[in-house]
Amino acid sequence: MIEIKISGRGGQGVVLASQILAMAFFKCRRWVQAFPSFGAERRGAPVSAFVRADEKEMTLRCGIYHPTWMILFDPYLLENSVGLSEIREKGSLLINGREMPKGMKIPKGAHFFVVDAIAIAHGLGLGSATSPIVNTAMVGAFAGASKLITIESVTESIREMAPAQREKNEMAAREAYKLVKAVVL
Amino acid sequence: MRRLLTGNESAAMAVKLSRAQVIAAYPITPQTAIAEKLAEDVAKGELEARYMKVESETAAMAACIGASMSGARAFTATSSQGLALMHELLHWASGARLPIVLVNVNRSMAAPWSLGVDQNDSLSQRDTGWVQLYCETGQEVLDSILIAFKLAEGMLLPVMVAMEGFFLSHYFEPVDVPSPKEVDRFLPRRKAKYRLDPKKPSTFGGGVSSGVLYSLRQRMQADMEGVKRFYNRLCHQFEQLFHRRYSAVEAIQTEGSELTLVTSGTLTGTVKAFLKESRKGPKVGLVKVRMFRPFPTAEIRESLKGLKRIAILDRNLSPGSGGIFAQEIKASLLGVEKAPRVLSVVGGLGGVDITPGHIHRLASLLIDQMGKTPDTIWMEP
Amino acid sequence: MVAPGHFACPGCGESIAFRHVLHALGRNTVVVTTAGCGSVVDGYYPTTASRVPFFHCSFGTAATTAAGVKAGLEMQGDRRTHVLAWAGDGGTFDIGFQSLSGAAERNEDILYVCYDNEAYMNTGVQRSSATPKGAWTTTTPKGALEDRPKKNLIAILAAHEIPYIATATVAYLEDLEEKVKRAKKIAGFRFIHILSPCPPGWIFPPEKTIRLARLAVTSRIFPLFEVENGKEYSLSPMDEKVSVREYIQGQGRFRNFTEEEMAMLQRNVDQAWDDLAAKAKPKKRKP
Repeated sequence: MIEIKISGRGGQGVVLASQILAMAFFKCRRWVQAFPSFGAERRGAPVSAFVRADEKEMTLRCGIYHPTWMILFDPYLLENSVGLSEIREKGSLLINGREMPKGMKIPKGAHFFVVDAIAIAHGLGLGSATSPIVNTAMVGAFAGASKLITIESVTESIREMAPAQREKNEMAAREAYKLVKAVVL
Repeated sequence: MRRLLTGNESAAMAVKLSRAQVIAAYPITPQTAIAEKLAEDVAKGELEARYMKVESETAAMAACIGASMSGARAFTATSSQGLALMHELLHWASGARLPIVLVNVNRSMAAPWSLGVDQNDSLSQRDTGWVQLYCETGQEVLDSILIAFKLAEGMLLPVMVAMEGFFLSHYFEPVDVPSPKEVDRFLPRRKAKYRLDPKKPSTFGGGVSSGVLYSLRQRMQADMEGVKRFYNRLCHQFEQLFHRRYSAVEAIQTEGSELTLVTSGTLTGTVKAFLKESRKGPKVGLVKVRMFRPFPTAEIRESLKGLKRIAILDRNLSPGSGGIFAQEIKASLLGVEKAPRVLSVVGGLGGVDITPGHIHRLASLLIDQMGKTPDTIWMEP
Repeated sequence: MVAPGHFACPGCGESIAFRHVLHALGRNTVVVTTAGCGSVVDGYYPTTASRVPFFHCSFGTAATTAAGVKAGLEMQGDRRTHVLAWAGDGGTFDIGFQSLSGAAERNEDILYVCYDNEAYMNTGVQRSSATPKGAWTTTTPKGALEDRPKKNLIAILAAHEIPYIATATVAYLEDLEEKVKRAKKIAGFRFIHILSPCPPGWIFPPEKTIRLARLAVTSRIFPLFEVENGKEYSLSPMDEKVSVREYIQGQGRFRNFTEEEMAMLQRNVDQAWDDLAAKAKPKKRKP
C-alpha cells in the first residue's frame, strides 16, 4: 500500500492534485482513496490532501500519518507545519523548487526529488506570476520520480479533471515528468 | 461502470438515477456538494426535477412533505444542525406515512461548533419513525439510496440514509455506477395510492381520537416489522441485478473468536483492515450493523449467538447513558441464553480518528478488561 | 365546496371567508392548512368539511408545504390544479413568517390566503404580531394591553415584489371573490389578507360579524386595496369613511381604550389612509 501526502497552500489546487493522482493510479489498475485534510480552509493557509493506492481493495478509513511519499508544492512549508519526520522509513520527498532547501534535517534512508514547477508554470503561462498553477506539474513530476504510474495515466486524468487549460496543464505534467531529478546527498 | 466519486457525489448520482422529482435542500457542511451537484444536474437537464432552493432545513422537509403528499418522489439531504431543525417535521413525515428519502451526512452537534463526524445527529432522531440505514463505503451510499426509495414507497415510511461526514462524504474512491436502464428495472416510477388529487378529494392529517392514534401507532410498528422483511427481499432483488449483497446485519469471521467487535459506518472498514493485518494475537471477529431502525433484533441475536465476548464500538454518545448502539444491542440480548459478555466502547466523537493501531490496542485491552471494568470504555483519542 | 356541520364558532369570520375563497377557486384546488382555527374547523377524522383535497401540515410551514405540493403536482404533469395555502395570522405573521418570506422571495406559484383574526384564537386568544395596539388578549391583559402596532405585512410582502397582493374581508364578499378570481389567473406568489372577525376573541355578539367587518373597512383601519408587482396600488370600492370610534366601541377587546388613545388612533389611521390614497388610484369599478 502506498500512502501519499500532498501539502501546499489553499488555492494551489492541492485537493484537485490528490484526485488527479488517485485517478492516475486508478487507471494503472490500483484501488485508490483520496481525501483532504479537514477543517475550514482559506487561500494561503497550509492545506494537505492524501492519496492511498493498493493492488487490492482497501477498506480502512483513517488519516495517513506516515506517508511513503510526501509532495510539497511550497518548499517554505518545510519551515512550518510540514514535519519531515512523518515520512516512512526509506520514504520519498518531492519538492517544488530548484534545489533542496538548506539546513534540513534529513531522515535516514529517505530519497529526494526536486522539480522547478514554478518555472514550468511560468513558461506555459499557467496561473499568474505570483500564483502559478503548479499542481499538474507536480503530479507529472511524481510520475517521473516514482515510476509508480505512467505519464499517460497522468495526462489522461488531467484531460478528464482539469477545470480549464487542459492542454497546457498536460504539457506541464509532461515537462515535469522529464525534468524531475533525484537529489543525492 | 466503475468511476471515482466522493461519497457526496455517489449520493447525488444515486438521487439522479432514482429520478427524484422534487428536491428541496439547504446547504450545510459537509453535505453541500450533494445539494450543489443535484442543482447542477437539474440545470443541465440531466435530472428532470424541481429543485427548490429553500430558506432553511425546516423548509426543506416541509417542501418534501408537500411534494410527497402530492404523489411525487421527494428527496433532501442535510447534516447535524439541519437535521435537528427538521425534528418536528421528521415526526410529521412518518406520521403522514410519506416515502421521503433523506441523506444525513453525520456531523457532530453544536455547541460548540465542530465539523468532525459522529452519529449523534441521526441517532437523536431514532424515535421519529424513520427507517435508518448506516453506510460504510461510497458504493454503499449509492446502493442504499436506490434501495431506500423502493423501500420507502413499498412500506410508506420515510427512510434516512446516514453517511459519515468526511470519512465518506469527502473520500474519493471507486464506485460501480449502474446505468439508468438497470436502475429503472429495479426502481420504477412512483405510483402513489394516497395523494392530493382533485379527482379523488381526500383530507389527510386531521385531528384523531386517542383510539385512532393508538391504532395508527400499532400499524406503524407492524409496518416497521414489515420493513425488515421487505428490506431482505429488496436486497435479494438488488443482488440479482447488481451482484452486491446487503443485509441488516453482517457477521465477518466471528466463529471461534475471542472477541467480536460490533461496529457501524466507516469504522467497520478500519476494523476490517485491522483483521486482515493481524496474524498473531487473539482471534477477533466483526459484526456490522447496517440497519438501525427498525432495530434488527433477530439478526443481532443470530450474529452474536455463541460468542464469548463482544465490544460495541459507538461513534456516538447519549450523555447520561452511553453508546447508543450498545444500549439497543444490550436490550436485544436480554433473555437470550448464554449471551456473550458485553462491553461498550465510545470513541471517535467529533471526528477523532481511529486507526487500525487503535483497534489493535483496544482489542488487547478489551480482552484483558472484560468483566473487570465499568460499563463504558472510552477510546484513546 | 364546504360541507355543513363543520366546527366553527357561531359568527366565525374564517369559515365564511373559506367558503367564498373555495367557491371562487373551484374544484380544481388543493388546500394546505396549518395549525389554527382553519385546521380545526374542517373537522376531526373521520369527518371533513372540505370537498376538495385538504392537507394538514405543521405549524409555520404552510407556504413551503404548499409550494412542495405545487412542485409535486407539476412534476406529475398537472399544471392546472390551484394550490391554496390557508393560514391564520399566527401561522403567517409569526411562526410562519420565514416560510412565507422564503416562498414569496422565490415567487412560488401558490395562492396564500391569511385569515386574520388578530390573535392565536384556536389556543385561547393569545397575542400575535397581528394583534392591534390597545387590544386585550390573554397574554396582553389589562395593565399590559398590546402596546405594539399591528405588523405591516402588506408592506413587507410588497417589498418582495410578488405579482399580486390584496386585502379583503367578509363584509364585501363579491369583492373578496373577485380578488380570488383575479389572483387565480396570475402565476407566481399571490397573497390575500382577509380580516376575519372573531366573536369570542374580539368580544362581540356573533350576529355582528359582518357589521364589524364593514366598520373595519369604513373606518379605514382595514382599507381594501390591491398591490401589483409590489408597486402599483389600487383602492377597491369602499363605503363612506366613518370615525374609528364606531369600530372600536363595538368590541370588548378594546374596552380599555382611553380618549387619548382613540384620538391617537384616529390620527394614525387618517395618516395611513392619506398615504395609501396618495399611492393608489381609485378603482374604476362600481362599489
